[in-house]
Parts: sequence; C-alpha cells; structure tokens
Amino acid sequence: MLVEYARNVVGDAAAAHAELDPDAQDAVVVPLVCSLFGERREVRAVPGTRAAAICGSDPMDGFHFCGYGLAGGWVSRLVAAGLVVSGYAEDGSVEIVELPGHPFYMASLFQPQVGPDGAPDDAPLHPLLTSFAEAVAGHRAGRARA
Amino acid sequence: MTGPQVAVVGERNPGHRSHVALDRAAARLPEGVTASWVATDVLAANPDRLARLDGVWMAPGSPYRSLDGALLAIRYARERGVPLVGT
Repeated sequence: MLVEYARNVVGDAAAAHAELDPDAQDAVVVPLVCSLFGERREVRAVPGTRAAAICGSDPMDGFHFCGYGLAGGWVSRLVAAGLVVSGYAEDGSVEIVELPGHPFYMASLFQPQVGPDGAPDDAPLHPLLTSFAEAVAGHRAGRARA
Repeated sequence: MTGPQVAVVGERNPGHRSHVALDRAAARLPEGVTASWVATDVLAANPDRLARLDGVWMAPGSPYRSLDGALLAIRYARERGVPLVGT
C-alpha cells in the first residue's frame, strides 16, 4: 500500500519495495534493522487518529512476522501527500498508517489477525478488523442504494 | 444478493502462520462479511473482478507473485472508496 501511494499519489514512479528490487536507490519499503519474525512488541495509536478512535490510545500487543518496513526518509513525503501515521512502536518506528477521508484505509506492520499466544479460536477479533468489516458492510449498503 | 464480499489479495500459503490466522479471523468477520482469496496474478489478468468487491484485504507474505496485481487492487480501493486493510 505504501508503494502504491508513493507511486500514484506522491508521483514517484520509481518508488520500490526493496525485497523485489534490492538495488533500488530510494525504496519506500526497506529491510528492518531488526527483522520481526514471530516477534511481539507494543503498538500505540496516535490520539486523534482513526486508529485511536478504533483501538484506543493504550498500548496494544502486536504480533509481527515481517522483515520489511517503511523507510524513515519516506515518512515525511507520504505525510505531505496526505497519509497519516497513526501508530508507532516504542522505538518510534511506524506501525500504522491511514488515509483520512477514505471510508477505511489502514495498513499495519503488525498483524491484527494474530491474537495473543494461547488465545482461543473464538477470542474477540482485533477492533481494526471489526471496524474494517463494518466499513465493508457500509460499502455494500451504499452500493445497494445506488 | 449475497452478503458483503472481501477479496483477500495474495498467495495463500497454508504453512504460513499469518495466513492461517488470517483465514481464522476472516471467517469470523461480523456483519455477514465473507472473504475469499484472490492471487495477485489472477487479479492482474482479471481486473474486472474488482468491481464486485466491497472490501480488499492485502494479505501479508511479500513478495507478491504479481506486484502489478497487488497495486491494481490497492489503487482501485483507494480511488473508489472501497474499504482497504493491509496487514
């Protein structure tokens, strides 16, 4: 989603994902300094954002399975083009981005589909996913009216 | 008319813990929402499939088989106001 935004909204047609294009000079998505395969860390939503409206601003436990993240040098360019950083890890790295004005546009580094270790299969869904489903149902209702 | 439909965009790998968890979560989405996987290369070859969707869930597990297919889905959802989540 970051590559798409960088290419089509920021307008940098060469914006790359370093996993696909390891030689890219100015990749949007780059290898994390410390890869996060199977790691958990605290994620905190930024007050006033949609993520905070959905999840609250208390720290959340976030499961990660990924070795790539948003390049630090790209954050200001994406923000200048309208994206909002709405969640951070404790070390200040970006965990959630969202697009204001869109019915629901949310990308997370952590994986809300993976609940706490040992959680039962019927444990409550992460609120980000519940809110997504509500937006999906709202979209269908809007189409039905159209 | 069937209920609201979400495409889970990506290449499903049953050995991938994140995908197993995604399937389990997707099966429990409220509001009668149902989700089904669409591979990125299938989407790239059949972009008309996007028109029937009420939501797009970009699955983890890069690199995608077709970056173009993934970007197509993301752009479509962003521009048309279709709910989009990337985990």
